[in-house]
Amino acid sequence: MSLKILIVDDEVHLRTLLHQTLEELEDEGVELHTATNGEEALAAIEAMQPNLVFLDVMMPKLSGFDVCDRAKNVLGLTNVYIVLLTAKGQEFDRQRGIEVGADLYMTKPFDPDSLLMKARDVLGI
Amino acid sequence: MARISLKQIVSAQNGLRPIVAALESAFGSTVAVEDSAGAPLLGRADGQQRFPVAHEGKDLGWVSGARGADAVAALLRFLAEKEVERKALGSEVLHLYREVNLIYSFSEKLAALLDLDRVARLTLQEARHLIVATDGAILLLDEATGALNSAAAFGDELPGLSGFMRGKGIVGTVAATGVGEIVNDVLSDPRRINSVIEVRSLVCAPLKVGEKVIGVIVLASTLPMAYEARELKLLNTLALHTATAIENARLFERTVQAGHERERLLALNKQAEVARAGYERELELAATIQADLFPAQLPHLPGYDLAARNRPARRCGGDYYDAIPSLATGDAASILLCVADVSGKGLPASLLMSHMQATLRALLGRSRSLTALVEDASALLYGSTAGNKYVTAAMLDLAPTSGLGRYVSAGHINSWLVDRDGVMHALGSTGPPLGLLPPGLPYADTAVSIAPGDCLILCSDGVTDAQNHAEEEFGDARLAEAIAAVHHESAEHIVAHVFAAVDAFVGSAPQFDDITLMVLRRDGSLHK
Repeated sequence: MSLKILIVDDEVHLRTLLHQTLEELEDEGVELHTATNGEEALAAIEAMQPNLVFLDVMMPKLSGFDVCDRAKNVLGLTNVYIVLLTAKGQEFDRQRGIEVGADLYMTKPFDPDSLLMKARDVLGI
Repeated sequence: MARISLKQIVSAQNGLRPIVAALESAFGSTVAVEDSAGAPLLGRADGQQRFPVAHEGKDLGWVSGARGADAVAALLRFLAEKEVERKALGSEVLHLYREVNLIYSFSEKLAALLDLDRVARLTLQEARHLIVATDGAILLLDEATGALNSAAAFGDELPGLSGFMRGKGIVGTVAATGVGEIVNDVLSDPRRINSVIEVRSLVCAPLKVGEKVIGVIVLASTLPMAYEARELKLLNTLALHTATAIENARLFERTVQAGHERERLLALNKQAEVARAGYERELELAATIQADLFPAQLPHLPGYDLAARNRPARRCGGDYYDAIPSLATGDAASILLCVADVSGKGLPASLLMSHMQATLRALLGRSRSLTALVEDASALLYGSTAGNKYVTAAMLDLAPTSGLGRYVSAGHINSWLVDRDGVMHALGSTGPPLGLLPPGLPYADTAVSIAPGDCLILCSDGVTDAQNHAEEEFGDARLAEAIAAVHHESAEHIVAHVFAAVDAFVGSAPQFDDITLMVLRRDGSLHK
């Protein structure tokens, strides 16, 4: 079964940037999927159980915290590695991050090289 | 060229399946899509016609079916082209994003630095991430000389180089004009001045704070490069941040230096305070010692009334008075009265005054007469003090029982003999000040007779020279007036009255000279 990464952000340019950053992994057989909001993301996580999710925190309706909480604590998908993406300068609620079971959080603007390195690390490639 | 695969296109395009289904329905036939290796990606074919999906001569896969497979293949070719375009655009966007990120993190790191060297090194380090170069340097302008001095450099060619000047060569031109430049063929640039540098291409941006150029940043390559406007723009952006950071670092350096200087001055001030306190203590001690040189109690003379007072202008004074039992006249009960005024004021004068006191007391009883004593004292002072130091003195050697005495004035102001009727007789100078002229000049003396009811007034010029705010002097006339009013009173009363008269005249004007007054009054049978 191929490795899967899900990119979740409601802003199209950030989705594009994340996708572009990770695109070289496609050559190594990694599938890149995207979702544009929390509900779509939760459905995708449940359906495909990706290995890694880059999940924006600030999204309308279902926030990244909510998605993470349901995936990890309700659906029990503890194998899905979830990276929360938070905007720099914004107060990040670390306690909430821990409660919802996020594995890591990164700030935007993100550093493409360290993001890619993290993805390789998590996927073991 | 970005790599694309049919599999990615088929899986990424969610809208593809409905379109294919619509085409299948329209053509009444099904189609199958497989990748270049023959692995099925979509559908199942009901015909044998195969159409390649190729992009730029490379087979990405095949579409097969009875009808409509060519249309689906054309659609996939179109999508492949679009995917390539999207990837190219995405790649460019990511590239720009990386640049923005680098500049963002660069300015964050810069903001944390307050050290000029580290600012320069960090700038070159970041610039290398953004612009391909073998060499680089940051040169800072010395405004006074026009020299461009290296603050940091890397590579084989630029480090260790010196002699860059504003207005000379390529980087010197950038420093002079404040406009960045790309020079891709350095060897043929007519401004090239340093032929030992093997640099082939360079890009150089000014470091500007406002309109002022404070230096340049240059990135160069020993291999020919095709630097473009993009690189210059990036370098300009870095230069903008760096120039500000360098100015901040310099400002910080100056602030730190000013702080150190202030601390140094505070320490010096404290030292001075301590020294002053020490000096104050010593001055206080000197004043105490000097006060002890004045007789603690004036000797009691039967039939006479003697009083004296001294008020120095500063802590220590140069006036002196004394009343010492004397044997000079051969009269066992005789007494020497003296009021002296040392040249100068303050501590130096007080030192000379103590010298005078010691001299006088040492000579007393060894000299055969008052004039001999004065001559000896003058010779001793002359030999032991600087030429501009001297002492004026009024001295009376008196045989109290007879009221007869000898008076000598060594350049001193007038003393006064006030008779019982209040008439004042001046006693003038009988020789030069003590210690002023070489020994050998004889002193004259004046015979004085003090009758019952008479007063002898000895004073220093601090009395008559006392000034009020209008800079008028108290003078002989006011002194005479003050004495006349009380000449029949006790010596102490006369002294107090004259001091009060001087004080009333002077008002709040500062006392600039020591004031000394000695009054000897012979008891009078005609006391009013």
